[in-house]
Amino acid sequence: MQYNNIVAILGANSDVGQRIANSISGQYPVLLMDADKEALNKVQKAIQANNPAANITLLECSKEASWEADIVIIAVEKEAEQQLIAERINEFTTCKIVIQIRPENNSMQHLQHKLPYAKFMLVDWGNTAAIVEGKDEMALSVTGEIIHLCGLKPIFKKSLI
Amino acid sequence: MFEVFFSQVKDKVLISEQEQNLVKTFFSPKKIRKKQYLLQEGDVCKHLAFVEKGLLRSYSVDEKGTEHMIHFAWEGWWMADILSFLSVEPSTYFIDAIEESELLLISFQGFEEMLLKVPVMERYFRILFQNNIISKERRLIQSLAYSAEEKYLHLLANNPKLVQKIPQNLIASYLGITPETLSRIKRKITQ
Repeated sequence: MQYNNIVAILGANSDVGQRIANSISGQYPVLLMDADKEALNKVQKAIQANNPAANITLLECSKEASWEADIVIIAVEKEAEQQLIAERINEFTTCKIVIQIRPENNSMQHLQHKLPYAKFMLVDWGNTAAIVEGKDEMALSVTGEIIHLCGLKPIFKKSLI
Repeated sequence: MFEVFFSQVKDKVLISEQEQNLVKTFFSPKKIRKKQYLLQEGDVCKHLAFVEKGLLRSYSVDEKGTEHMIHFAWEGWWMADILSFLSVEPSTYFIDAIEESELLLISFQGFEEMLLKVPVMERYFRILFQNNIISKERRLIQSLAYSAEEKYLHLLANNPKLVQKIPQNLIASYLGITPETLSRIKRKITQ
């Protein structure tokens, strides 16, 4: 038997959040977090229609989700929301992998400075590929696997962060 | 989040505010739900877990599917398969939560780095490992030389909290006796 890392997707109702949730829920237990519970229920139902065995838990609090998770994905689309979430989850993500998703053609600021003790990864989301940036070897490998499961090609970039 | 942890550390060593802040950066806070696994047989134990709140158990499962309790850990206690953690070999244990628990996890790499950067934690862990050896020796002697009744009375005298908190079938398994024998012993004691 193998322990599967629990992945929290913060902003699971966003386009990218839904895609990630749909793609990885066969592989990882997932915690879906978003403010709109009704929309979140729909996302859960859609995933479980394709994969009834998917292990999905819904949460409305980013702190709780980050506390329970081993890997945290920040998939909210607005920069201000990303910054706010990073401040909220900082103390719950020490030594955990935190993946910031930057939507295509979006130059929002990275969150490394707000999450100084996390294994921080920045992902620039594209149509067919995603650029993955970060320092920790193990976190790079895990992030690459998640990107691959989403059907994108991970391109690893030497970290400038 | 670190209240119980630092209160326990301060019971054994002197640690400054600055050292405490540094120590915090090596621990990952983790909340687990009732019955959720922290470790499964066949996996390498990658973390030492400190219980801030809640209750964990470690156990092995034999070929017949019977569970054998090895250890319980509640607030202020540590839990891990130390053999697997230090040797990086697959564990033969399961660790799960008897109730919802709040933990602080530290990886092997983090553990080594913390001991280098905060030497007072090395002293803390030396004391902890010493106590662990003593307790394991005692348990071995009890399992070899004590009767079922003596084992239970010893547990009751030394760990009353464990007897109160933990379901009787798990206590029986921990003592290496059947639940029926435990019930008989308890009846006899109350008479």
